[in-house]
Amino acid sequence: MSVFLHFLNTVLIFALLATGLNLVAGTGGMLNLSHAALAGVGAYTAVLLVMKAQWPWLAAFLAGGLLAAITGLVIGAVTLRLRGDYFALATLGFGVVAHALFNNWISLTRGPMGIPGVPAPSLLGLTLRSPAAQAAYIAVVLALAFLTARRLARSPWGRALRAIRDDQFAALALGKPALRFKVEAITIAGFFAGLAGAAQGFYIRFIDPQQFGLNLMISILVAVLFGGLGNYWGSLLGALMYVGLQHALSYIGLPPHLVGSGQQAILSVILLLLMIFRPKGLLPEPPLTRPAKAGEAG
Amino acid sequence: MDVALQIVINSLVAGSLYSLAAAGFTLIFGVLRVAHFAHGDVAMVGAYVALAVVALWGGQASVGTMAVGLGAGIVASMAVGVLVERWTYRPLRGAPAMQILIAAIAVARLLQSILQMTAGSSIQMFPIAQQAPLVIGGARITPVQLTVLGVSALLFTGLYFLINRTHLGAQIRAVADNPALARVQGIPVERVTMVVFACSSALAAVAGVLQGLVINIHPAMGFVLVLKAFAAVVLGGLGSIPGAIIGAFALGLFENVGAWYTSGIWKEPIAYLVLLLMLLIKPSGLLGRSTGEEVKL
Amino acid sequence: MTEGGRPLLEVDQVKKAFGGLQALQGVSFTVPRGAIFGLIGPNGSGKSTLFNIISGFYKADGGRVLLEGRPIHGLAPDVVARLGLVRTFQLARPMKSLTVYENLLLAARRQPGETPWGALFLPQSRWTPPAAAARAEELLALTGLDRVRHQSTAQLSFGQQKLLALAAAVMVEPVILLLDEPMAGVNPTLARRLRETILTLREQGLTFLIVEHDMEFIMGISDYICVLDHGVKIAEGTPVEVQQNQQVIDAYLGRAEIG
Repeated sequence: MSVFLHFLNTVLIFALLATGLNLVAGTGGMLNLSHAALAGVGAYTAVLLVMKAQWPWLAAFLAGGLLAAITGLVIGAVTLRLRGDYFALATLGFGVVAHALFNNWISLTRGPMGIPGVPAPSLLGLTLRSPAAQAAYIAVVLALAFLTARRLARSPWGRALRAIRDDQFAALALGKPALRFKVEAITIAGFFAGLAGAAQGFYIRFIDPQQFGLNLMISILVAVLFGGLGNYWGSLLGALMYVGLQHALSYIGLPPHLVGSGQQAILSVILLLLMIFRPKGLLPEPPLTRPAKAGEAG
Repeated sequence: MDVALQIVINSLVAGSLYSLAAAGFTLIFGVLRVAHFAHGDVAMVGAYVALAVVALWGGQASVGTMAVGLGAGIVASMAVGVLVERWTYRPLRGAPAMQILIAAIAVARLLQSILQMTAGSSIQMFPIAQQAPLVIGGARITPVQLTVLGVSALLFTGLYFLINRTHLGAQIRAVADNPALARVQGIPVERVTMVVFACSSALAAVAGVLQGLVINIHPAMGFVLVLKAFAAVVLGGLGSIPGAIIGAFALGLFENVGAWYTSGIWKEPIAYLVLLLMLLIKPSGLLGRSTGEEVKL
Repeated sequence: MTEGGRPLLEVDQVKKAFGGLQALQGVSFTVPRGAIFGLIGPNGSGKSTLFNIISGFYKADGGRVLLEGRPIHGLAPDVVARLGLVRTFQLARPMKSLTVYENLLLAARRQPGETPWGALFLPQSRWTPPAAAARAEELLALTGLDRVRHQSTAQLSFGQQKLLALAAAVMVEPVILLLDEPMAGVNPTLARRLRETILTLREQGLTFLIVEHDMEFIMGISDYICVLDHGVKIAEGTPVEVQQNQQVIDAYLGRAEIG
């Protein structure tokens, strides 16, 4: 049972990360490689607020999301005028710089040693210590994120974002302020990334810079690409695939020191195959409105 | 004064390593318009193969065993580089830039994980004799470091002649300039591309081995190396080999000056900061021509 | 040239060079309100460059562009569009993941559902203003795209895409429409439809600046024509005047039409 709950919690947290990235990369078409670092911002903010500033857990949790959102906003505002692949590299750069900050600002973050002894979340007087309780609240957050992302993607806002993704010049010619929509997308996604990072910190009860580096970033990316760009059920599927792979590799008896790189190797192959054969992922992006009414052509 | 000189020497050594990687990276970018993010890992493959070959003899490595190791490393890197071109970039020719970028990153990570699984995750160095540094004007430089400078200088001269004075070089320049036109002119574009990958990978192998001599190697360093190469290339001007080399030396200088001022703590992210700043301020680099980005349609 | 009051669009000594090539060497003309103004010239004369400058996609090296007296040169393309100057593209550029109807709604202004707040907290029925939906209906009828309103834009013929592009541009509530070779590649039936649509829209108060190579079309529909050659304005006037201008004949009309 505890194995299952651990699996569940990991999937939930990962799905939250993937949902946020899907909004930015799938619906928004922006390869924001700082997403994992934003999760780190959320984690450190929330954990430090609880442990050093004695904030109530919920406030700290939300503050983590908020600070990550603001960081995303700043990064977006600065980098979004760059062309797609340069934007990706610039956000990668930001991610690395954030990682360096976590590692080197020792007085605040304890650097590579990380912060152990993170307390369990406490909500409405209850301490959510058991994995089941944690799974419950994370599932709620995930559900909210999922519904929010889907509603946004289906709304006129999402329609404009898709148009900007598909053809930014044409969208500009129609008077859409492309930069504004994109920054909004990154900010909202950043919020969910921050919450996910914080949730991870409160679940594992330990955070360190390594958790939020390039490894996590690529993993989330693979999950999103696997499930399908712009398809939010797909992000859940991708999360399931990723965590499932992780558990499967340990299960088949791969020696522990090989599990990490083995997983990375398999994920890299999956990513490569996806890019060559199915770059948009398994599940297609759902259309905005219901398909043609009966009697209409096409 | 000796501090300044030491910084210069360290910068030159670091710069040499980076410029070997950056030159290869630029060659590929020039011909394929692709950011070959597996380049650093190709370098690591060469380094690890060299290491394994040298270990066959056991004990300390002599110049002879190093040379054999280097040769093996170069062959390995060339093989890997050509395979990557064949199986990753060629199927994706004409695909959107982002797709290729993600694929390149995927290949890089794949190579890295294979290295980690076969060679382990510990930091390694070539087992060479302890070096007595030469003292020049208060600063120190070891013979191996001098070798790095010498080898790089030699290779760049060779590269210059290859690109500018040979028939192959002319073909490479033609393809870099306009692949469609080159094809129409009868130039075997696929073969030239393969040759470019082979040469770049060879350069990468040398960079990897040299790094293993003067610093150390580790599977995760491949990505670090290629990001630094990319930073150098962006700094010096995308698509220009002299620019890449100058950018690499500039990067080496920034790193060492920065490390000195911050007691080494911020040395690692300096390359990324440079990259970030360049991308934001002047993506065409210090030397490069404007990429025409302002012409949006 | 102006018919009582300020001209709608003024282009004043616009210059643009690309590297060593001088694409525009100081072009000036004005477009009166309610007119259909044609811009013609051989390939390479600078028409597209001028179009891109006026609509904000390029920055001019010198000169000014005024819309209703207000300088718009140097403004971002989306700002220019919202100020009332909307352009279409030679290659239609429909949004592939949208249907025809969605493409029109996309272009509507002031939609409460287009902010994250509105999208999340307003009920779906309040996302689009009824006026916008009504205008979309009108335009669907006007262009004859009614029948295909729920088709993906990727499935439209080229001519249909151009009609859609025109309709979408109108949804942005422009005062002037810049059409970039609207007739290029369109079959005669749809071409006629396009022509009728343009004339109807003009009756509704829209002004047009049209770049075209189809001489029959542009001479037939324009009130005024401006002729460019090698970045310089070589003639301006009514179609009749321009067709009789010797310089124009030598440079352009006399030669076989280059597509």
